[in-house]
Parts: sequence; structure tokens; C-alpha cells
Amino acid sequence: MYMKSKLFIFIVALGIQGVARAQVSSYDYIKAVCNKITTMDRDMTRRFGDTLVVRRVETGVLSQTTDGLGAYTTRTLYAGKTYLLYVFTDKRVPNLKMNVYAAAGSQWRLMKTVDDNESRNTAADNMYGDYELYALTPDTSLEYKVEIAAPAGNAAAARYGMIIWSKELGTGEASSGSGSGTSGTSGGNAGTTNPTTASGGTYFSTQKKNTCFWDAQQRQYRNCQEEDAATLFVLNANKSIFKHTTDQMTSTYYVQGTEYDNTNKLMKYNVVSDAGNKYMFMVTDDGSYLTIFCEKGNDSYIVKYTVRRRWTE
Amino acid sequence: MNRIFLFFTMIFTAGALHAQTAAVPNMMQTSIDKIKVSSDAGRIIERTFSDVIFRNDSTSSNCWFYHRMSSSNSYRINAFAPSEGVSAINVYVYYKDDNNKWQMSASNSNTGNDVSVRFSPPVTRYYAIVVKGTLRTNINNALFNLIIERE
Repeated sequence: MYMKSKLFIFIVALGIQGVARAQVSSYDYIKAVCNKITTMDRDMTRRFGDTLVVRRVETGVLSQTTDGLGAYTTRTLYAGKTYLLYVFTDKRVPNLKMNVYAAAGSQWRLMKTVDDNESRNTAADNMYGDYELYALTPDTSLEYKVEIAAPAGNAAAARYGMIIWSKELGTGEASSGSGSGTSGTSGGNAGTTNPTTASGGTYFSTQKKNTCFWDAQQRQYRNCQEEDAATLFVLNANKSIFKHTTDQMTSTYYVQGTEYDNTNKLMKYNVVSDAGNKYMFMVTDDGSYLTIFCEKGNDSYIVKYTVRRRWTE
Repeated sequence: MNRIFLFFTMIFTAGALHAQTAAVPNMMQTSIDKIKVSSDAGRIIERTFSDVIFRNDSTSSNCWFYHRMSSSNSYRINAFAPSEGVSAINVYVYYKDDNNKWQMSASNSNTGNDVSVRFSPPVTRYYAIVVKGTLRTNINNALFNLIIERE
């Protein structure tokens, strides 16, 4: 009887283990990773508002490497933004590290290893292992590699998640409601003061836009389309960033150079967008028009906005 | 500034790890729904990506994804984006030949904002999967998703 009981308990224990394994399926892990991404993004957006924008979300499998488990991804990150890199693992990997590399010709140059061992693998949150965070402000627009590595001794494989947010320089803390107004005033990086909220910004509300396309044969801009365009341009006090808000989105353009056109009485701003595209913004002295010129050879076009009102704050 | 940003973020992240899921963004929910269907069908989700299609970004620089695929498997590559932002999406699979030039191995034959490619790699290697999308008028950028699954 005693032997039968032990055998019974042994079989029950095996069964429980089997059930426990079955309960955490591959789908469970990836669903947990997706849910974590959703939760993190929701909470970060709640905290930082529109200043934080998702640029890349990724999930994948950490697979065996010579040093343990690993995976990597690459993405172009642009100068003039701060990127927040967030990587995490499921509970099968309780300790990970993040290596960040910058492209250097055909090689990768290690910039930073982040291994802060910040795991909060508690019972209430037990699908997740470790995570690491790194804020990066590129000096130049480059391709970067983010490597997720876990030492040997972990499971044979595990899932990871990653989010890359971008953030306009100096705006996040201001919108968070904390930090006692210290946004952008410390840290020592030149040019990172809070440009978009500093006093003296110039606002251009627009009412119409007229888009014309270059006709290579006629050698003039034709095929113009005029439409209503209730949008807002904001040029910060330092005259280093334009923000353009439409009913769909807000785009950011970084001023790389200016030139005054005395003949046409307008200021030209050479800008680059957050996508890396180059444009010229032209603002007439009287503030009645703001024109965007995109030089793309035979595909060049201009967008001329009629300004409803210009003001400064 | 960088340090302050990271500092606040880290404090918040510690709390967020205990946060409960509330409203799930459509993007991830759509992925989860698709992954559920795939898992039920016995397919293995190897990787998922979400990134941004920008207007006037002819190089699609953020839409190149590198993934190692084995010649002993076949893969299903699914790209999709919300219809309110993207009218059409295309997926291409490239590899680099011996002359270091990109060669296309496969692309989608169907059309729309939710397309798939079935791909059986002839050689085990890293492949580049490139997503290109057509944004609707007045849309300057849109998130899209990419799911790579093994059949």
C-alpha cells in the first residue's frame, strides 16, 4: 500500500509537471511578449505623451550561439533624436545583456554594453525574465546593431521583445510633469536644451496648401493641386527645429542651415526630416507663405502653404 | 538630458513591470490574433517586426529586416498595415550573391494591405526581407507589421 501511494504520488507529480509544461506553450510565451510590448508602450506613452514615438517593435527567438543565447537586429538611427532601446526576455532567461554597436564601414563598433540585472521576475509578473534599457542620442545618422545576449546555462531557447522609441530632444521630461522643470537643462550635451518649449517660438497656422510637381519637359512646376490644410508649423526659439502638426500626425524637421534670399524677401531653411529626407523651407518676410521644396530630380515638387496667422510666444 | 531621461524611464519601468494590460493597441492585438491562428495551425513564429513606412523614403531604410532561414524549412512571411494608412504593401526577399549584389528570391503575388509570401530557401543563409508600402493621401507615415513563421 505504501509503495502504491508513493507510486501514485510520483505519477501525480509527473502529471502535474506535464500539465505545467503544457500550460506554457510557445504561443503563451509570444503572447506574453506581445502583451508586455503593449503594456510598456501604453505606459510610456502615458508618461511621455506624444514626445515618445514607437519606431521599431520586434519579437523573436534567442537561439544558441557559441557564448550562450543570442539574437540581434539592426536599424538606422538618426542624429538629432534620442532613442530609447528596451529589450526583455521571457522567464527562461533571467539575465540578459544588451550590446549596442554602430556601423563602422563594413564592421561593427561596440558602443555600449548594458547589463544592469534589473529583473523583476515576481510571481505576479512571472512570464518575464530580465530587461535592459539604454538611451542613445546619435551624433550622426548611422545603422546600429542591437544585440541581445544571455550567458550559457539558460534554456535551449527563449523569446525576446524589443521596442525602440524616439524622442525629441529635451521634451520628454517637461511633458512628464516631474523633474521640476529640469528638462534639457542638464546632462552636458550641447544643443539639447528644450528648444520646442523655450519662449520665443514662432507659430504659423495654415489654411491652404498648393502642391505642384516638376514637369521635366516643360521645365516648370505644373499639375498643381490646391486643398484646404488646417495645420500648424512651429519654429522653436533657437530656430533649429520645425514641428509640423496636421490632423494626422506631427513631423519634425531639423534645421541644418539658413540663407536669406534678399531678392525674394524670404528666409530659406535647409532641413532634414526625422526620416532623413532633405527639404528646403521658405518663409516670406511678411509671413504670408511657408513653402516646402523637395529636390528629387524629375520628381521634385513644392508645397506652398498659405499662412492664416503668424505669431510668437 | 540623456541621463535624466533614462533615469525617469528606469524608475517608471520598474513600476510598469507590475502593470496590468489595459487597452491593447490594435497593432499588437492584430499580431496576437494572427499568431494564435498560426500557432493553432502548427506554424512556429520565428520573428515579428513593426516599423514605420515614411512618405518619400525611397530607400525604405527602416524596412530591411535580416533573418536567417534554413533550406530544410519553408516559411510564410506576412506583412500587413492598417487600411486607413496604407493602401498597398509589398514584400521582397533578397540575398547577397557572390559579387556582393542583392538578388531577389521572392516577392508577394497578391495585393492589398495584408500580403504574404511563401518561401522555401534554396540555401541556408541570412536573407533580407524588405517591406514597401503605399501610403494613402495625406498620410505621412504608418506602422506596419511583419511576421516570419516557419511552416
